[in-house]
Amino acid sequence: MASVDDVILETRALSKRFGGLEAVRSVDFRLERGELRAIIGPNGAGKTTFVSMISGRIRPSSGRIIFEGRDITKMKAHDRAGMGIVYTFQIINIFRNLSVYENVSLAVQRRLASGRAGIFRVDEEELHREVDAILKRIGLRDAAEQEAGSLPYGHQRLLDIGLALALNPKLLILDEPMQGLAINEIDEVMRMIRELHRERTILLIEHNMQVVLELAKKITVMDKGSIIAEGTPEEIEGNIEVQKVYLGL
Amino acid sequence: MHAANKGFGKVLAVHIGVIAGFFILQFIVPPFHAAMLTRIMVLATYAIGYNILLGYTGLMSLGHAMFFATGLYAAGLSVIYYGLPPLEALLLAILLSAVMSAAMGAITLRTSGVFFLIVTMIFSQVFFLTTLYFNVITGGEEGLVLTRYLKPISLGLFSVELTDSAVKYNFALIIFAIAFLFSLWLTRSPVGRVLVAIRENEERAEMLGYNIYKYKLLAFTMSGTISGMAGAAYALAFAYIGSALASILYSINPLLWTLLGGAGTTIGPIIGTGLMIYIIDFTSGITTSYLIVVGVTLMLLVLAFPPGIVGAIRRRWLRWLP
Ligand SMILES: Nc1ncnc2c1ncn2[C@@H]1O[C@H](COP(=O)(O)OP(=O)(O)OP(=O)(O)O)[C@@H](O)[C@H]1O
Ligand SMILES: [Mg+2]
Repeated sequence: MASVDDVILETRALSKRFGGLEAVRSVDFRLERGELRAIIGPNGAGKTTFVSMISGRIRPSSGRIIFEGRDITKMKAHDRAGMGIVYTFQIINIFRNLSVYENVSLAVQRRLASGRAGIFRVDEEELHREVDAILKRIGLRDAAEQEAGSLPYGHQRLLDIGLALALNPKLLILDEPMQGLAINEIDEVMRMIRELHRERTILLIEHNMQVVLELAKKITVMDKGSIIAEGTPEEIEGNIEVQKVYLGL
Repeated sequence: MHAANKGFGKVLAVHIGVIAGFFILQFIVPPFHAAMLTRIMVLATYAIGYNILLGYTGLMSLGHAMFFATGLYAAGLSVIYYGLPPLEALLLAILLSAVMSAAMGAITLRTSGVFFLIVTMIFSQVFFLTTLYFNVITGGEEGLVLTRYLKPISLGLFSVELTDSAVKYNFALIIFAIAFLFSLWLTRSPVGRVLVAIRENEERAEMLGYNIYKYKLLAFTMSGTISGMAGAAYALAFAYIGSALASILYSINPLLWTLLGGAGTTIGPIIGTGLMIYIIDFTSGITTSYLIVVGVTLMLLVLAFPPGIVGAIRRRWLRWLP
């Protein structure tokens, strides 16, 4: 980890085929510790597939994934989460029939109980304190006892991000967190992402260019399974290739 | 304090109350009903074990007769052939059920959904056929009676006989209480919360970092072990072992009892078991086609109360019930 540029994540020739479709084609990608990187690209570009391989939700067809210098290509998703790679789904994914409190407490419990004995015992006091802190942070303290599935859409999204943040990840992958949110909710989530970024590396997939330009210092553009450009927001905005893809020329 | 802890006094009171209720009933009800209740407590223990997998983990097995019968035969055969005293036979049976269910879980949990249903059923049928095949030892379909092999249970200064109906009753009550309180503990423990998370949304639970397979295996083993304990209690309390108790009917029974009473509730399996056993007893006195009556009653109840009796009660009135 003492390398000059301190790369937290790297993929080498990472590929995924779904039958005849090459959703991700031999992607070489590097992410530095502390970055807030955005990945953009048109629908079907392979963004979700790419980050799903990083989180372990999808097995690559070929290629390698290296996290903090360790080859994690074969590692199970739950172990990667335990290592600090945490993914939030493009489609909101929470425990709809459980209360908001129970949702968050499941995430906090996972972090507190990482020992072997931990599955039978956790410090309930500590658990409660931490859950409360998270609820406060995502602004859902008053909704703690409410069933998660009955929350308004925007609050469900906040809860979903709250679950990720309760795990205290090293690398947080957010897959289109702004999708379906109202303007004021977007501001709220943006504020949260900025705050989260102070402590950790974030990989953000986002269609909303305004959000991307405001948050990210570096942008990666994907199209048809490949990275077609990478650079600062200014560089990307001026990139002919990117304009072609986005304007459909 | 958070709501999870607020109502616990009430919850504990209800559970202790159920156990106390069974204890007191033996002094009130006539012998016929005491015998019925003995049977209900043993079989409710089986349903409680089954419910850990179905109700709290969301896995439907059609092969639990295998574990019930593992306990049944382990206890029965060790009493008959090795002259083990009842409590030693019970402990041996619990141990073997744990091993058996852990091994079976390790295999069957590689499948899911309807495949899980089928695979568990197939293994259980193999077990059933094995008990028939070795009928020289097991007594096959006809079964074996333990009565003259059953040694007294020694309790320090004095000893009691399992052939005594009051001893039977309280033996069943203790077994039942152990399983019942265990299931209550489980629902409130960190493990239990993860099991519910798996039932509710397996994918999310995995992405939170939980090893789903490990937790399911744990649930499967706990479930199979309690089922085996119930089987052993059955052999010891009713002094009988026979392969009918390993048949598919005994895999379907705990499923029906649990659904009727309310899967995913601690008390539901008891209500479901009690009700079904009384309904069967009642209808078999009137008509020979009692199984049809049972089936229809059950369908109506499950249609009217999809979450089961206790599940419906919880939904409408007692939200704090575990
Ligand atoms: N499980 C799957 N099986 C088959 N094809 C899939 C699967 N998942 C994704 N695909 C295909 O792979 C391609 C890339 O999909 P992916 O979801 O990664 O794109 P995306 O960039 O995230 O798009 P969007 O912006 O719409 O979310 C698409 O053509 C999609 O249809
Ligand atoms: Mg996507």
